[in-house]
Amino acid sequence: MRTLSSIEDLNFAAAMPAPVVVQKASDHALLEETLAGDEDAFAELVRRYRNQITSYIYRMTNDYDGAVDLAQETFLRVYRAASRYQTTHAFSTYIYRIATNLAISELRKRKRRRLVSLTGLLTSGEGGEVRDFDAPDERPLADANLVDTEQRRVVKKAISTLPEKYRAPLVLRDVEGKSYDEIAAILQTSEGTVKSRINRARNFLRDKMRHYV
Amino acid sequence: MSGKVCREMRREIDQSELRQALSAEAEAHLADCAACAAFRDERFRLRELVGALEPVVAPADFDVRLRARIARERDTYQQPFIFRLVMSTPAIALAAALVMVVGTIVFISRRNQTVNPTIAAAGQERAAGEINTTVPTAPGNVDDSTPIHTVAGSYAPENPRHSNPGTRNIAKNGTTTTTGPQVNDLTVSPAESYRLAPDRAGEVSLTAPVKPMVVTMYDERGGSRKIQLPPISFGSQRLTGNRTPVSMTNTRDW
Repeated sequence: MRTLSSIEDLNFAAAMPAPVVVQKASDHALLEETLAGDEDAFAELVRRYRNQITSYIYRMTNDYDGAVDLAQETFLRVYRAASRYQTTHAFSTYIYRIATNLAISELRKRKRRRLVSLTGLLTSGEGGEVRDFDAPDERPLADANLVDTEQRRVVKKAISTLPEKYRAPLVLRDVEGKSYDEIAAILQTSEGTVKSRINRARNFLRDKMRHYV
Repeated sequence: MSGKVCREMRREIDQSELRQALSAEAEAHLADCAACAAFRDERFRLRELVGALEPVVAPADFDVRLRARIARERDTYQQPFIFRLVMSTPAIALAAALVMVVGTIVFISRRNQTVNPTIAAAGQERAAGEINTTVPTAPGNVDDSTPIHTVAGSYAPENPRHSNPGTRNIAKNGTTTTTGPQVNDLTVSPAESYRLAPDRAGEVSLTAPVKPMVVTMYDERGGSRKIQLPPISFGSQRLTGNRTPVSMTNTRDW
């Protein structure tokens, strides 16, 4: 029997089976397989992005059912245009671009129809100024959860009143955590414009949430 | 503190990642500039608030609904392009249906307006006695002393030399005779109506008027105006070779 001289002589790694490295298929590869008729590949793409896209569109439109519907439309367009997809950009950029276009289109449609919605009640005109009828309650709240809930409600409301050209970059940056260059690619604009719009959007938010910041 | 430096620092704060360490220069500036330090705290707080929004997840049946939509899309693409185009927008579908209904109505009404040769001939015989109409010069001013316009019609070619203030009667054979003035006051009695019936199946009318109708109008000063009206054809006369060309009859002779 072999004598151990040190703890390093215990070679656990040799006794253990080699770890199985599961290579996660890239988005591009999944789209290629989708194009070849593999339904499961497309289902995997949907699984990867459904929550992100639904969440993003919801933050843009502030309407959950509408966001789900638009998220489905986004995937439908990806599926329909799979043959025309070019791998010059990341797939996430591509799908976020489609989702952004759909969300902005929906916001413009709402504006045209002058839907009486939460947004409509709070905003007046192009600038999206908040009417000051929803003054914050200055009394201390008993429960910290209540505070959080109230803060989230105010933040959501404030975001939904931002003009659409400021809303998209702000949500992509501060909610989705995208980088500036990725946001620029999604919105098809320059990085400088993105930075400028995010700065303007934060200034808007600061003005609207002055009691909370 | 210089405004330009503060602007630069604030830009760096704004573009930095959340809670990321700033450059040494920025940190030194923030230690001295209370306004920029407040700006940093405010910005970080704001970004934390926005980033703290609870995540939204897709509903459980998202995949199922998406598959159903894709399947529906496939079915739609199997239909003809025109059908898909029309059905894609309810307004287009409605407009198409409306056009079809209106087109059908117009087609049926046009078919019913074809001249019935026997009725038309009978109408000519009835009209052979008189086709005279009196039109008052001004409405509401009708009495015996009021000059009247007499409108005489003829299916026969009109010779301007034969025009006179009397009334010309038109016989069926086309000969014209002049009688005393017999007028029909439309303000008193209704005008005659001619009902045109369609041809019977397999028949084509060849007895419809082929020559222009000449109408002479007389005014109170004794002057006259003559109008030639070419026969209106909806098809039957076009089959006859001896029809007077419209181009020869539509010359206005005032």
